[in-house]
Amino acid sequence: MASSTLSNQEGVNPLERRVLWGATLFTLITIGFIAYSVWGLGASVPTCMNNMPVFKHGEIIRHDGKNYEIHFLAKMWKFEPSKVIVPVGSTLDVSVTSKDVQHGFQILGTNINFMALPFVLTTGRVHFTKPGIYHIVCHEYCGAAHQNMNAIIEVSDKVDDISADGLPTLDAGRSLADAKGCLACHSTDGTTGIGPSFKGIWGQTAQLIDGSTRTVDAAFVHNMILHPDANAIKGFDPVMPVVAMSDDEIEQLTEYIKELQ
Amino acid sequence: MSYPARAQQMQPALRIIILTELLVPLTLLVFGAYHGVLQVLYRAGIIRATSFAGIDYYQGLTAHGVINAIVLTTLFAVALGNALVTQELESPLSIFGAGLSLALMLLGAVMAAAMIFTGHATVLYTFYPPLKAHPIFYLGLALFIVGSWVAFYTWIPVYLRWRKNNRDQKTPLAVVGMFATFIVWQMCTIPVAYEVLVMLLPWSLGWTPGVNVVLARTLFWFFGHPLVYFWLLPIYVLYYTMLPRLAGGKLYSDFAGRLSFMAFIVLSCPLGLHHQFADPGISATWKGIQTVLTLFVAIPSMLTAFTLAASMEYGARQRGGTGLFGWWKALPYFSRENWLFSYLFVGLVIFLFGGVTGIINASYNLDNIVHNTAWLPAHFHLTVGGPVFLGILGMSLFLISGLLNKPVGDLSTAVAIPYLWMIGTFTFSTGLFIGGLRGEPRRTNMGLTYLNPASPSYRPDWWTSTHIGAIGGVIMSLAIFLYFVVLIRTLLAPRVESSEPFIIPLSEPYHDENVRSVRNFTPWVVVACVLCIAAYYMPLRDIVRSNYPSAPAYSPASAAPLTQSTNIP
Repeated sequence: MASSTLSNQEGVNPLERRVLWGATLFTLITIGFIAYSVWGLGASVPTCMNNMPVFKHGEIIRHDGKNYEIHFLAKMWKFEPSKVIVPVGSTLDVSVTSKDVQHGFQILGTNINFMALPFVLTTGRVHFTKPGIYHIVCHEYCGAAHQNMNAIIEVSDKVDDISADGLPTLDAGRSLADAKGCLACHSTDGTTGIGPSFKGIWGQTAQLIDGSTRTVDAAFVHNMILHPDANAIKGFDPVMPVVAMSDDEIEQLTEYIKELQ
Repeated sequence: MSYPARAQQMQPALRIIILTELLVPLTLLVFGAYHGVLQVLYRAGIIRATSFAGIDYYQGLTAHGVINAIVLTTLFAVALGNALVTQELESPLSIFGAGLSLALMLLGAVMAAAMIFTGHATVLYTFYPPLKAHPIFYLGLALFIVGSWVAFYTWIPVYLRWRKNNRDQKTPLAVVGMFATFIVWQMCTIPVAYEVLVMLLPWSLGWTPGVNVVLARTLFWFFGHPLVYFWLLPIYVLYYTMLPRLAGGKLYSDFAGRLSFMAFIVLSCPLGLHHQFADPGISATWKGIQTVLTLFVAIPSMLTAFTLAASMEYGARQRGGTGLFGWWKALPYFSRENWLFSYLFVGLVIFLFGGVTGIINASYNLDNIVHNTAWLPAHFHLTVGGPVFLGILGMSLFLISGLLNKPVGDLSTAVAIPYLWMIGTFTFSTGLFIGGLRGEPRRTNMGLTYLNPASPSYRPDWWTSTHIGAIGGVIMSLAIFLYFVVLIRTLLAPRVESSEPFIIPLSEPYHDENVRSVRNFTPWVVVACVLCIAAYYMPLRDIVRSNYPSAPAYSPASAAPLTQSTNIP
C-alpha cells in the first residue's frame, strides 16, 4: 500500500524507495513461510466451533484403536480430568471449555495452546509418539489459586488403554452415595423406600409437607442435603439426617442423580 | 532553517497542567515499579506467599499493569501533545479544555487505583469477565479514557485554525505525529468504551445477569493492540523530531516520518485478533487475514529503522565521524550535555529485539508455542518497557527540568540510567524468553507452587530461567531508583533565572520531500475505518449470531458464582 505514494513528482529519496520495497518483500516472504506452515505442514490455530454442544464435566471417550477423545473441563482451580495416562502412539482429540471464568490450557511440548472460555469449545488434535510426562498448565489468570491449576498427560509404553484420574463418573457418584449412606433409604431402581428413589426423580416436581412445591434440580439437592428438615417431602416421614458433605461431593452426587433420570 | 525556533512563552496555566500530567504518574510509578520487582521475586520462589507487605500478588500485578501501561503512558502522551501542539502551532490552548481533561484523567486514575489498592479490582489490567471488579474501577477507567479524548479535542480547533492560516505550509511533523497518536487512540477506544460502559459496568452493578465473554474479549483486543501503538507513537515523535538533532544532525527524511505516522493510522486497528489466536469462537481464516495485516506494520517500522539510522549517521558525520561503520563511534552516547540522547538511543537498541519478537508473536501458528507464556512479558518489556518507558523517563525529566527552569540533578547518573536499564531488561527478558519456551505461564504466582519444592507441582526445570528473570528485575529496579534520585534532585535544585522561554529543540529535515499524499489525514483515516469494518465485520457477526449464554460474575476469591445467571441452559 505504500507503493502508491511513490509516484509523486517531487519524488521519494531512492534509498528510501529501496527500503520500502525491501521491507515489503521481507513481509511477503514472512507471510509465505506462515502460509507454507499452515497448508504444507498442517500447523493451524483453533477455529470457530459454534455448532458443537458444550460439555458440563470432563470425560474420556474411546474411539477405534488408539484414538481417544478427551473433554477437559477447566474450573476454578483444577482441570477435570487431572491426570490422563495414554499408550504411546495415541491420537487425542482434545476439547476444552470452562465451567466458570477464563482459563488457559497448554499441553507443554505440543502445539496445543488454548484459551478455555465458558460456553465455548476449543478443540485440537495431538499425536503422542514419545513416552513421557506432558504438563498442562493453566496460563490465564483465573483467581486467587490460579497457580495451583495444572494437570498431566502421561504417555506410557506400559499401558494398552487410556485411563484418567479426577473424573466424576457414574461409578464414583454411586460409591459416594453408598459411602454416605444415601442408598439405605433411596433406591436407584425406582422402588420407593424410606425415601423416594433417585431414579427418575431429577426434574420432577416435589410437594413439600408445608404445601409448597419445588423442582428437583441442583439447588434443591444442595438445599436438601444441608437442610433436610426444611425440605421434607409430602408422603415420607421427615427422618432424613444432615449428612456432612463438601460442595464438591454434593456436586458429584447431583451429577449421579441427574444421570439416573 | 526551515524550522524556526519558536520563542513563545507557554501559558502559565498550561505549564502547571503539563507538569501535573508528568509528575502524578511518575509518583504512582513508585508503586508500579515496586510491584514489578516484587513479581520477579514471587515468580522465582524467593517470596513464597500469597501476599507481601499487605498487597496480594495478583493485586500488585493489577496495579503494575494499570499504573505503568495505562496511567503513565496516557498521561505522558497527553502532556507531550499539549507541549508540542502549543509550541509548533504557535498558539495557546484552551485552558478549560486542557484542565478538564486533566481533572477527568486524575479522577479516573484515583478511582481505579483506590479500587485496586483496597482489593476490589484484582482483575489485572485486561479485566477479563466473568471475573468481576467493583463498578467504580470500570467507571474510573472510562473517565480516564474520556479525559484523554478531551485533550485531543482541545488540539483539533487549534490545528484547523493553523491550517486555514498556513495553507501553503506542511503541518509540523511533531504535530502530525501527535495527531496520528490520538486518531489511533480515538478509533481504538470506542469499542473498549462500549465494553466497559455498556457491558461491564451495568453487569458489575447487578443490573444485567451476565456478560458475553467472547464478545468482551474481542472488543478488548480491538483496543488492546492499537494500545501498544498508542504507547509507541509519542516515542516515534521523539525519535523523528528530537533524536536526529540530539545526535548532532538532521532528520534524514521528512517524508519517512509522515508516511510512518499515516501508515500507523491505517494499520493500528484492524489486527487485534492476533491476540486471540488461541481463542474459540473466531474462525482461523479471519485470524489469518488479520495476521497478514499485522505483518504489514513491519513496513513502516523498517522504514523508521532505516531513517533513524541514516539520521544518526548524518549526525555522527557532522560530529567528525568517518568510515563505512566507524561513524558509530562519533555519537554522543555518554554526553552530559546531550543526555537525552542516551534515553532515546538505548530505547532503539532494545526495540530491535522487541520488534523481532513481535513478528514472532504475530506469526499465527507460532503463537501455539508462546501464547500466554512468560515469553509474552519478555517481549513487551522490550517494547513498552524499553523504548517507550525510557522515552517517557527521559522526556519527562527533560520537560520538568525545562518547564521549571531547574538544571537536571547529577547528569552523570542521568546518562547512565538507560544503560543500566538496558542491562536489566535484557537479563530479565532472557530469563522470561527461556522460561516461556519451557512453558512457564505468565501472570502466575509461581513461588507458591511451581517454584516451591514442597509443592506437588514443583518444576525444578524452571529454576534457572526464573532466577535469571529475578536478577534482571532487580537491576531494572535499581535503574528506576537512580532515576528517582535524579528526579528529586532536579526538583529540589534552585531555579535558574532565564529570559529565554523554554522550547523543545526539534530537528530540521535533511531531505524535505514534498509528497502530497502524506500531507492529508482524511484519506488515511477513511482507509483505516474501511479496513476496520472489513477485518471485524465477519468475526463480530459470528460472535453475535452464536448467542452465547451470558456468563454470571465471579469473584477472584471463590469458585462459586456471585449471582446465578438465568440464562444458563
